[in-house]
Amino acid sequence: MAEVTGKQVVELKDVSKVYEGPAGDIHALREVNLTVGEGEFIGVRGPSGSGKSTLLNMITGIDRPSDGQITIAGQDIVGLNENQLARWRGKQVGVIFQFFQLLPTLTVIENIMLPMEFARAWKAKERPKRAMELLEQVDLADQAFKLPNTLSGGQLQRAAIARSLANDPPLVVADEPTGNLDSKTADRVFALFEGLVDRGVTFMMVTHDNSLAERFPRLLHVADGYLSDKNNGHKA
Amino acid sequence: MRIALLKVRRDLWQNKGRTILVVLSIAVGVMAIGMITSSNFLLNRQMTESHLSSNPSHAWLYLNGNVDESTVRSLARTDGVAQMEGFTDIGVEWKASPDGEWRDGRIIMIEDYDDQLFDQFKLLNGIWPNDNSVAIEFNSVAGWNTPDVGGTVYFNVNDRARPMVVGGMLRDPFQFPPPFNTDPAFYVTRDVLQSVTGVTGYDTLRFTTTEYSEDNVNQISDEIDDKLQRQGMGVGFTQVLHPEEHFLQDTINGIGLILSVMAIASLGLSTFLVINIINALVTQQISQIGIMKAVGGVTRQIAMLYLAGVIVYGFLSLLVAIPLGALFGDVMARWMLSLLNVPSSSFEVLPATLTLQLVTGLLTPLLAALYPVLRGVAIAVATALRERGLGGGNYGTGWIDRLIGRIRGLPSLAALALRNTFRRPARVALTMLTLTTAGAIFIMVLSTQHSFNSTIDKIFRGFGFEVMVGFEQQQRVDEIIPLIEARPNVELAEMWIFTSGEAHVPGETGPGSVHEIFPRGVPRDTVLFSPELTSGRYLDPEDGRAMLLNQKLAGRMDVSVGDEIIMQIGDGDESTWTVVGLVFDLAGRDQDTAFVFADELAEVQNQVGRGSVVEVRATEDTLAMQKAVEADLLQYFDELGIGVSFTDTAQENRQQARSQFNIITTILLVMTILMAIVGSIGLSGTLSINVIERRREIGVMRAVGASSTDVGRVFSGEGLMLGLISWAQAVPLALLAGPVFVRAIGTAIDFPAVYAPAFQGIWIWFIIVVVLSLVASWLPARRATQISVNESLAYE
Repeated sequence: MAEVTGKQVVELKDVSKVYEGPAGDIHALREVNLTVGEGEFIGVRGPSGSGKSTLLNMITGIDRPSDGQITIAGQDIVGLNENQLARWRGKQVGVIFQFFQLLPTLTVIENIMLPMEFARAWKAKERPKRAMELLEQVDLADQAFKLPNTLSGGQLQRAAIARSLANDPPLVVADEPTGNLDSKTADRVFALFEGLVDRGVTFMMVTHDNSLAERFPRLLHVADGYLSDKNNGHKA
Repeated sequence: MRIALLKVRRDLWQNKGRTILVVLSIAVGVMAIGMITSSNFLLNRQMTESHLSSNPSHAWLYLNGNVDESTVRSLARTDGVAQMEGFTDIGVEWKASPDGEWRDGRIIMIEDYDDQLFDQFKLLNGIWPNDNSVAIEFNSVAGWNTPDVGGTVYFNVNDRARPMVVGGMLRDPFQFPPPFNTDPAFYVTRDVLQSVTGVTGYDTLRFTTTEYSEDNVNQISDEIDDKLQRQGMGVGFTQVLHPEEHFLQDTINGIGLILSVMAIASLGLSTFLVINIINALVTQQISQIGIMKAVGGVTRQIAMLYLAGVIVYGFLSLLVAIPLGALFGDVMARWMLSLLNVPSSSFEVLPATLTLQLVTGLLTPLLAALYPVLRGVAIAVATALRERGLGGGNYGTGWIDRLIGRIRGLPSLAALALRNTFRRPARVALTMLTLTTAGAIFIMVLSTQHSFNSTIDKIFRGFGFEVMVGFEQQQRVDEIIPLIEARPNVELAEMWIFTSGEAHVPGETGPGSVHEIFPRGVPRDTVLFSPELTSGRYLDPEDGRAMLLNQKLAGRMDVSVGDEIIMQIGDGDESTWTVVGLVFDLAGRDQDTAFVFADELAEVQNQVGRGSVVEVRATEDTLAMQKAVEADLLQYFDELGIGVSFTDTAQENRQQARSQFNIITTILLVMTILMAIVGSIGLSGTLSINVIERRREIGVMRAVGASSTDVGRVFSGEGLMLGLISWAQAVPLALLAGPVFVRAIGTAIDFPAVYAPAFQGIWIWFIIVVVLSLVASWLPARRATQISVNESLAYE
């Protein structure tokens, strides 16, 4: 396990996840242990079906482990129910999906304000200003009042990044956020992530892109449910 | 929740088709509720207002003879009588032009039209009757083409046409338009009455009591009867009228109850549609629910979002349902009030109906949506986010899927349509429920109409006559029958006795124990008479004083087969009769007929060998033949100088009876059509949802070479399949529940019809459901054909 200095943001202890399938049990994660410190920028790699997305879903509370303990930003999330998890996630974790997942009937800025509303974060009057600032950070202020179906893939992903930062979470998790983007756009988006990390945000993302993987200070590898850390090479 | 509500608003706006479907689904049910409650309310209010404003009497006494004004004044001093007024209503012959044919009518007289005491006529146009002019009931002009105000009517006075100017038009609350009435009514002064009919007195007394109760009225009626008996007259029948309730209130309440049940059923069906559509909407938005949860939305917040959408659907449906409900309610009330001769009020939106519609329009969809919304938003975020792509799901695991899967050899598109139909069993079940219910009710309503008509036919067949002629004086049987049977087109004739009297159960005395009865004397060797029995047996030629009693009167008297009743005809002696059977007969003032052997009745009346009515069977059972025989007999008896009091033809009587019941079945059909609309909206909704859900499949089909026609056929086939299955379910349901339905309607309107299924209704519904299915699937199928490969395979 990589040595973590400073405050721990993510801590997984003996986390396993088993799915029941028609052809028998599928072990998506096997006794995974992981610690991530504040401000770390971590990449996750692995072949398709290896358990990468399951790992991120464990960290975001989107899915529950079959066994083990998960503590995120000091909160044990395994014992939380769905609603408690949703509230917790709204404030503590920003999630970025491969397919952007913006609500199609809301404009870009409204999509960004939605998590603020759910979490009752920021005063109602301040939310548009805050959302616009986030859009400016991702260089999308001019598209604020457009509907998602009028934006390109790169613009959609930048909007999704801005949304993930809506409630200023200490941790942002992204599942193949550049998977659907061309290399130039992917590069721009990655640069945005690096900027976030520079500002102290802990960032974890799944990627298949070799050139991007090289740029992570710390790279985790998932295969058959096992997690290995590239920096020291031992099983986590 | 400002942003979240924006999502609600845009979801509604961007899915206009779906929004319209949900809104219409709710609106039809809420409109039905509004229509029925407002028409029921308007009917009851207008009937009560009209009744009260006419200053209603408490009783009508139909006399066996005429009394003069001084007798009326004397009888008005009877204990318990508050006020009394004389009234005359007798038959007359009239025509609209000097060379026209004589037709039957009524001539009505009260003493003072300017100072009417009870059941007041309202002058609508012109002047009250005077010695130079008559007035006419306003329904007569349209109903029987009588002359209008300013025209001339001709009365038959000793076979000469006596012209009278029609000076006024009035509304008489006791006169109805056809088919509830057979003759027009003319209103005259005493002098005109005398000059036209020779009658000067009153044949009816109307009075109010100082303290109303049915018992009190009957008691006073008995006292008046006693007084009149001393003058050689008597009270033939007493009609008690409630001072605060219209005399047809019970009938209207029955119809109102049936319609309310159907309105609630419509609302119930539209609720099922709302469940269906909301369920589909939530299913379709599962991934969006997942995203909202992923960015911090909690179940309650997301549920509120969808429920807010449902409230908006409710509000929008109210915009449609409130005005249409009020409008159709008004139209329906106006129509029914016109049949009852009750004035309508101006159009209004009733606050009570409005409140009920607001409550049902908002609460019903909310309650309907509660389960699908709560179930949908309770989905775990991981599950919600996994919902993507094709090839997943659990198709093929259910028994229906496996069963259908065994059907081999179908063309691919047909197999696809068939299998798709049952992919969402719950949705199919709800859609089917609405269509099946609508179909079953449609078939049952037609069966009700058929049952009513066939019962009426049976009744008329049972009484056997085709032409009936009533004589003013009793005639000798052995003289009249050979004369009639010698007339052209007459196959056979029988001499009957029609009379009226009173009946009571032995040992029962006091108010309410005496009932009016209309005994019919039947020849012992009758060929015509073979009535529909509801219990017991027919009259046996060996019987003495045996009686077939109208089952409705039997119910009122609480007697059954084997019981005895005591009958008194006029002021004759009482006689005891044994009830051997109960018959179903619409005749009598209130279905209070009884059938006994004519010789036994003649003996009681001291009129042996005589009869008052001749019943004739013609050589051909057609209206033309019956009218020809009627006209011939009228002319013949006129030449013989034998006075005829009335004539009837079976075809006209049957048609009139049918028309009265057809009004009820028409109202029921209107409600059924509403249900069919709900059903087709449901079908269209289900197919639209299927199109939305299967965009990716459509894209794949397109990608592998399906043409627009192929795609359209899959969805049209699915719609047709659903329609046909609903038909196949509706048929046995209608046949099983039909007898109960017909009995329930019959009970509500006091007409115990014998169930007779209308098999043609099954095929009419088949055609309707095929057309409905194709129409309902047209729009969704068209939408499906417009989906491009790119669009359908692109991920949101």
